[in-house]
Formats: sequence, structure tokens, C-alpha cells
Amino acid sequence: MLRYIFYRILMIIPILLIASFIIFYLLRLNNTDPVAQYLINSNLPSTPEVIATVRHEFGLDKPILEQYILWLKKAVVLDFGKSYMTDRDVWADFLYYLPNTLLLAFMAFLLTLIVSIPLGILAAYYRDRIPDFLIRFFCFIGVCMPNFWLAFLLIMLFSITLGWLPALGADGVSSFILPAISVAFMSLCVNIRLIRSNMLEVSKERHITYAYLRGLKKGHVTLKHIFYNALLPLITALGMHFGELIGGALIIESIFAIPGIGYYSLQGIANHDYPIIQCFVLLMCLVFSLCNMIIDICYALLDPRIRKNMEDSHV
Amino acid sequence: MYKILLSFLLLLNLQCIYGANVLNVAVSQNVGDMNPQGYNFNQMYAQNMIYEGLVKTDKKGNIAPSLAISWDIKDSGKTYIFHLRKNVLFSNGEPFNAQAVLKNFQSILKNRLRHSWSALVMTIDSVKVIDDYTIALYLRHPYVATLNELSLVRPFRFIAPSMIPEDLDLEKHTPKKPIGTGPYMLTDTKIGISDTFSKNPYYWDKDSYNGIYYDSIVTKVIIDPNAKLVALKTKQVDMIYGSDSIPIEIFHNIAKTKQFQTFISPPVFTTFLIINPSNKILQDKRMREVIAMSIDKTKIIESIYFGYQKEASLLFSLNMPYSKPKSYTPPTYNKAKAITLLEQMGYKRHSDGYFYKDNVQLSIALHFIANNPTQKSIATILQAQLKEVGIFLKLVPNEVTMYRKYQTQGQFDICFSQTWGVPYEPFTFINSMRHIGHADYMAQKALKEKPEIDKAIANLIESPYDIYADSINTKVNTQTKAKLDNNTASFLDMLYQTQIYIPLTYDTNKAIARQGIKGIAPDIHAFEIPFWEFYE
Repeated sequence: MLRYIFYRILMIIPILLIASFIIFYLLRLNNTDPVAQYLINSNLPSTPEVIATVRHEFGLDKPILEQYILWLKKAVVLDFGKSYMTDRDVWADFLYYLPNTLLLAFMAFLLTLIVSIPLGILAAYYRDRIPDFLIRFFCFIGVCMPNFWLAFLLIMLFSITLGWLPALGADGVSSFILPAISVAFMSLCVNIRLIRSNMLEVSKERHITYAYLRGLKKGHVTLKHIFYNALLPLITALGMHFGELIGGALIIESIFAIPGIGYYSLQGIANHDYPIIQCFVLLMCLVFSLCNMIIDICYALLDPRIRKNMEDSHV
Repeated sequence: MYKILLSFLLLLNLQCIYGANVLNVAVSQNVGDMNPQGYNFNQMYAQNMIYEGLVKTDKKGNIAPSLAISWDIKDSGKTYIFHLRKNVLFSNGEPFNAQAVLKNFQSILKNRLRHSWSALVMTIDSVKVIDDYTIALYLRHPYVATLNELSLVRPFRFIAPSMIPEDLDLEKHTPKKPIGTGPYMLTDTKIGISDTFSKNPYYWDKDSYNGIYYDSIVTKVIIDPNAKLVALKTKQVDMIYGSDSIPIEIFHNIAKTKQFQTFISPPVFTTFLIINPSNKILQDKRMREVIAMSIDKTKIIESIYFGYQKEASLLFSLNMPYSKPKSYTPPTYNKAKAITLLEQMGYKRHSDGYFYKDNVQLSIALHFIANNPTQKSIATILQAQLKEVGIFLKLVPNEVTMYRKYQTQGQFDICFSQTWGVPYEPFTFINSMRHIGHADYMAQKALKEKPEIDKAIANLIESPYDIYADSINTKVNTQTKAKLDNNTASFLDMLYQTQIYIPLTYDTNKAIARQGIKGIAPDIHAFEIPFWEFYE
């Protein structure tokens, strides 16, 4: 098992290398120009002299491959360079913004788990009865609603009308409640439906019929036999959701004025600030790769058949 | 006794904290490292709060004294002698004097190329200290916009000499601390959250503003315009200031509710279309006139700006200094005349409603910035209006940096642009028309009149007008001012008659504030917020 984990960690390195190469080239081949953006932001005209000076300062006057090698040399020691626009160290800024995004993603993830698991089980337990209809309607609304719109509705109700929760900023956990709901709402609704359908699938299995025949109570069968066996696809979904939640934070952090990675990256993307975009994409690749790895490890831990297969294939 | 004294001191301290007048303002980004010579993320409104220059522009755009109380212009406009204000201290207590000015100028001139957009930077030959409070600026040739450019928010503002690095290079090194002589000083920065400014205890002009009401200005970083409004409604901020912070729809909706105070400035700059005559169809001046006559600007003003901005008829708004042409009358909306002109030019209208010549449709491309909703809306209206006279206007959306590239390379038929506002208008803006890198230059390049235009600009810009020859305390030399007025008016006539500019609207600055804040009166300065004038 340890060997498998080590192998998976090693595999992340080529993934990150390929991703970094692709993003580095794509950014420079798409015809947008950080130098022009810098001059626009500075209210400066694009005279040839100024363009040449700024291009040289940004290191964009070198061949792309040379730029990539120079960047990579530094990136391996977590030096992602300086932002073109702010002249601040990109990695230091990421570390500054990361805790808020992680807190937001963690709260949203927790909310997804806390709400989706009981509601999913309830919907399956009361299949085609009123609680199931209500939960499915709730999910239908949640899946249809864009997170930024939900965010404004929540602000309108809880911040402006009722005044219960802060609308903006990152002052304490209370500031993260509305953003976490906004980010998590769609994921948790998808999860509820997933849990419900998985459990209904598993409940058709023969071992469940045997369990009932053995005289086990419905609640016990639902939790111990159906839910446990319906967990595997759910773990895949949760792993993917964590990445989605960080992605969702891009918009939500702007709406709630939370200084996080989303806020920082959006500014970087809008300003064609290559060092920020490269660092962000690489970080997202790492997050998704780690999530995938953790999912696979969880699979192995939960299902002895998968564990056996993995160990056999990596001996 | 000791405990009583301690409690008293604590109470006094608490009172100091809670008694402070704080103004919270929503902004889109942090103010930056507040380099007086820095661009980009160095926010101009904040640089203006901290740093002052030799001169400034008043609310009408005229030159007024700042750290120089008077000046003499000699050698036919090649030498400027500035008499500095005495008893001025930087916010750290350092004295302001001629040596401080010299060191700042040396630092600016160290990076001439970076500031090369400013003709003054490229024109300054040397700077010399005459005595402790007199400094001389020697130019290579006379430059009419010298005082205007000295009044700019950057780069000609002064930081305490002790904050300038040893190599004088404020491009390579950020200042140790942003210490200026202005009304406020930067006291705290929380990246992505806020910046806090406190009153400069040594500010020399505080009595003009009754000691300045707000002890602290906290600028809170909120990117989303709707979120800014939410912050105002939930009392997390007191004010939103600046047209870039407030989309016109939000401003319109708020103005209707009367829940907050709303303010509109006089015109700060002009949004206009530039026609590029390098396109064969647009080479004919009559065609450019046809396009101008086909545009009903009132529709644009009503439907896009909700009437908050005025229709523009000239490139430079008449409320700006030196903006009046001599005899030029701009073409007005006249659909019938436009159609007649097209017919006179040999175009024939086909059954699809468009004009054709030699079986080629009369088609022109309009470039605009794809994610700029205002430009997109105007473009759609223009397309419909030009269709009415039989011209097909092809809309070409562009990413913003691509748009800038097409502009500066002259790869456009028609595109949007803006003037630069005071104090760049009119002379610095006019001077830029001679330089590559400006859409104006690229459009004018295709005109046969271009050599004459450039000659006229050179004549206007480099002539030895001594309009400010007398010190500010005496009268301006009216004779030379009249001469400059006259020459500028003649030049504007020549420029406008090329018909490559179609002014659309005079843009205004906007502000929304909670009830109770007084003294808010946005003026013609697009990049400045006079917090020191606000009170309750």
C-alpha cells in the first residue's frame, strides 16, 4: 500500500511538469499582452520605447523556451517570480491569501457533508414519499441556481434585510457562513441526488434482501448495509467537489470581498499577470491531483478487492 | 491614586480612538507601494493624498501654486525659476526645500525612458538649486505644457529625500516609506482588505480646510460593483467615488431611491470615435462627414447614460482651458443630408437597404473592447443608426490588450478612444498626436494634412509663450495668453476639420455617499479624490 502511495505521489511530478509547460506556452501564444495591460493600468501610452523597456523588465523579450527554463528553475524552489502588476512576490502572496480560501473551501466541504449525507439517506429511505419529493425539489432548485445569484439573494436576506450576518470581508468565522453556503449549495444538492440514487441501486442487491430476511431492522439495513456500500461513488464525487469548491471560490470571494486565492487569481487573470496565472494553474493541478490520489487511496482502504488489485499491479 | 490615573488615561485613550472621524470608502484595489514615480497599481488618488508637486490645477483646470508659491519664466520659455513655499515639512518632520526638490528631480530623470510619455521629462535639460528656497528648471526648448505636466499626480511629486535610495532609482527600489507633504499619510496596508490613511500632522494647508475633518480614511478593497453597493447599504462603507467604481446602471438606480447622496462632476474627459483614413473608403473626407451626420448622439445619451452625461460636439469640452476652436462648426445629425452626400459620391442603394459602389457593399468595421458593456451597447446603437443611412457597420469585439495593439498599429477603421482630462488637456494630449503609439497618430498619419498638423503642433507646443511669466501673485501676461488662445483655437479648427474625430459624450465622475457627509463636489479631475474637503 505504501509503495502504491509513493508511486502516486511520484506520478504527480510529471503531471505538474506537463501542465506547467502547457500553460506557459498557451499564455504566450494567445496574443494577449501583459505589457499592454500594464500600460493600460498605468494610464500610459504604448510608445515603442516604453513597450521595449517594460517587456525587458518582465523578461518577455527572451525566447519562450528560455523564459520557461528560467521560470522552472525558480519554480522548483517555490519562487514563482514577481507579479507584473504589483511587483510583489507571487508565492508569498499566495501563502497570504491561501488560508482564507482553504477556510472557505473547508467550511463548504463540511457543509456539503453535513447536509448531503442525512438528506440523501432520508430521500432514499422515504423513496417516492413526501420527504423524498421535498428533498428532490430542494435539489432541483439548488442544481439550477448559479452560485453568484444565490450569494446575492443570501446577502439581501441575511445581511441587508435581517442584518444577522456580515455581507463582506473575512472577519471571523461568521463572515464565511454565507460564502460557504453559496459555494457549497450546488455541490451538496448534486451529492444528495447521488447518495439517493446510489443507495436505491444498492438496495436492489441480493445481500440487502437477505439482510431483511435475516430480520434486521430497516434503519439498520439502510445505514450499515446500503449506505456503506453506496459510499464508493460518493467518495469520487466528494474528491471532485473539493476542487470545484476552490474553483467556485473564484467568483464568491469577489462578491463577498474575501481576500483569498480566488480574488488574487481573478485579478491576475484579468491583468494577464503570467506569474500569478502560472502559479494558480499549477496549484489547481496539484489540488486536483492530490484529490484524485486521496480518492484512490480511500477506495483501496474501503474496498479490499481494489486494494488487492492495486498492490498486484504495482509489485 | 495610581489606578485612578491609569483609568483616566485609559478613558482618554478610548475617547481618542472612538472619537476619531473615520471615512470608509469602497475601492477596487489596494493603493500599491505609493511610489511617487510609480505607475500601475500605485493608485493616483492615493498618490495625490500623500504627495504634492510644485504646482497643481484648481477646480477649473487652471494652474495654481502648491509647493511653489510663484515662478518666473525666462530665456523665451526655456528657464523656469520656482520660489518655494517656506516652513513646509514632510510627514516625518523633514524640511521641504530646494535640495529636496533637486533630489526628487534627479531621481525622476534617472529613469527618463520610463517617463518618456511625458514630453517635459524628455525636455528637461537640468535642474539647479539657486538658494534654499529657489530652484531653476532648464529646458532644451520651450514647452507650453511645462506647468501642466508639473501638476500631474506622477511623476513630478516629492517624497522626503531620506526615502529616496542611494542610487536615486525609484524604479528599481520602492521607497522606504511613502513620506510626502500632502494632507494624508499612509499608515496601514492590509493586502486585499484595506489601506488606512491618517492626517499628516505637519500639513501646511490644513487651515484652509478647517483642520481637515476626517482623521482617517480607510479604503476598503471590494472588486465587485454590486458588492460595493451592498457594503454601502450595510454601512460597511460610507462612500463610493469614481466612475470606474460605479457602473452607470447602479448609479441610476441609487439616484432614484434618494436613500443616498449622489454626485456628478462636470465633464472630465471625452469619449469619441476615431476614424482611420488609411481605409480607402474613409479616405474621402465627405464619407467621414456622412458617418458623423448619421449618428444621433441623443439616443446614446438617453439609452446608455440615462442622461447623466452630456452629448459631446467637440473633442475637448468647453469647460477645459484652451478648448475653444476659432470658427469650426461640427456636423450635426442629419440623415437626409448623409444619404444625399452618399449618392453624390456615386453610391447606389440596393434593395437590402445598404449602399453599394461597383457592386461592393459600403462596409466599415468598428473595433471595440468586448468586455466593456458601454462600448458594446454604443456599438450596437451605431450599427443600427448607420444601417438607416445605408452603411453596414461591422462590429469587431476585441480583448482589451489586442484592442490597444490594433489601435497603436493603426489596424482599425473606426475605434473608441478617450481624451485624458485635466491637466493633460489640451496640450499634453495634442503633443501626443505627434508620437507613434497613439491611435490619434496612426489615424492622422493617413491624412495628407498630417505634415501641416505636426508643424502646427510643434509651433503650438514649442513656442515661447510666457503665459505664466509673472508670478502667480501678479496678473498673467494677458497679451501672450491671448496669443496662445488664438493659436490653440486655430490649431483646433485645423484638427477638427479633418473630420477624423466624432466626439460622442463628455464623461463625468460619479460619487455615492451616505447622508450626512458634506463638501462632496466632484470636479474636473478624473483621478483625484479631495478627501480633505469632506466633513460632517
